[in-house]
Amino acid sequence: MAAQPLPLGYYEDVEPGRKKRAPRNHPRMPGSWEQYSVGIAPEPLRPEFSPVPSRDQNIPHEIAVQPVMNVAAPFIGSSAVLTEIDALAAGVDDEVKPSEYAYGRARAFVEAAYGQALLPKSVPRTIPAPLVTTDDVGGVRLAWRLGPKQLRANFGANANLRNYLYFESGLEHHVEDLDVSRLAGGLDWLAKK
Amino acid sequence: MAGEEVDLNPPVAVRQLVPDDLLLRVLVKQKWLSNLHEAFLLRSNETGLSVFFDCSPAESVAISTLSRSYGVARLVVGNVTALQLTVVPDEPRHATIEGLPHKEDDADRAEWFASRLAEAALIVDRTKRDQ
Repeated sequence: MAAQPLPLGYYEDVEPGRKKRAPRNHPRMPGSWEQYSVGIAPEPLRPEFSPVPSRDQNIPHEIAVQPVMNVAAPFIGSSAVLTEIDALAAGVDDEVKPSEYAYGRARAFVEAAYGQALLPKSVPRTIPAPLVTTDDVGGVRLAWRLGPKQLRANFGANANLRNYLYFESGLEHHVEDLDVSRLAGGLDWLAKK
Repeated sequence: MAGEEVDLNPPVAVRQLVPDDLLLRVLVKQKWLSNLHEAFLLRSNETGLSVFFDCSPAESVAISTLSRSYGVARLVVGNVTALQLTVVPDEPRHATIEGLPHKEDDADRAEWFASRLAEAALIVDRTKRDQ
């Protein structure tokens, strides 16, 4: 079941201290996040974005790959994000290495959430590549921006630190607890026009 | 003179800042250049954001004693105080931006302030420096 888009509420003021959570119309998926890190089918690549040329020998190679050339804003799948998370764990010059805890959760959440958010739908959607970085204590942070919309996922370095999802669009903003379903919903909200 | 104590570390005069003053924030991660909001989140051991004034970008990096940096962002004091934050000078060329919450304490406000400060800031130097 794919998560529903997350509407941001309509705020009467912009004072950050007075957050008003928008009504949530996407029920939290039952069970824990670990359930979503297994048994998820590999995310489907939409044909027009497939990097694999057609195997139909009757189709000239140039024609088969042509649609890729016309994609203005490339769709970014979970594998690119996972590669960046792995790179952090391998060690990047100016980054704190992620804790095992944050690394494992970030990886599992991204894999499962992209699988949910990118299930084939009638309207093609685009999810931009996120910033993948760490905080000063080894928490993992992902930040997506698309037009005026911003989505940030914060994976705390350990179980005592916060895991949250931050939504911002124009003057509206709010934070939700982070789980796979909400992250998938956030990606869906980000990509929705 | 006998009996008189000599202060070996006399207080250095720190001037007050005015709304038009410029603040410099040293960028310690390359990724901050394209995602500036990350530069305006408090680290877990900080009570305020470290900024410099009355100096050039290169000087701000030198004063910071950071071993590596990737550039400098500039803010106007008035734009910071307009967010109900305060800028407290504590050394002749150093100040802290006070009033920001830690993301652990108030994630919504911490992220919101980071966005607003990033909007108000301008990257004025993209030089990678090792010192």
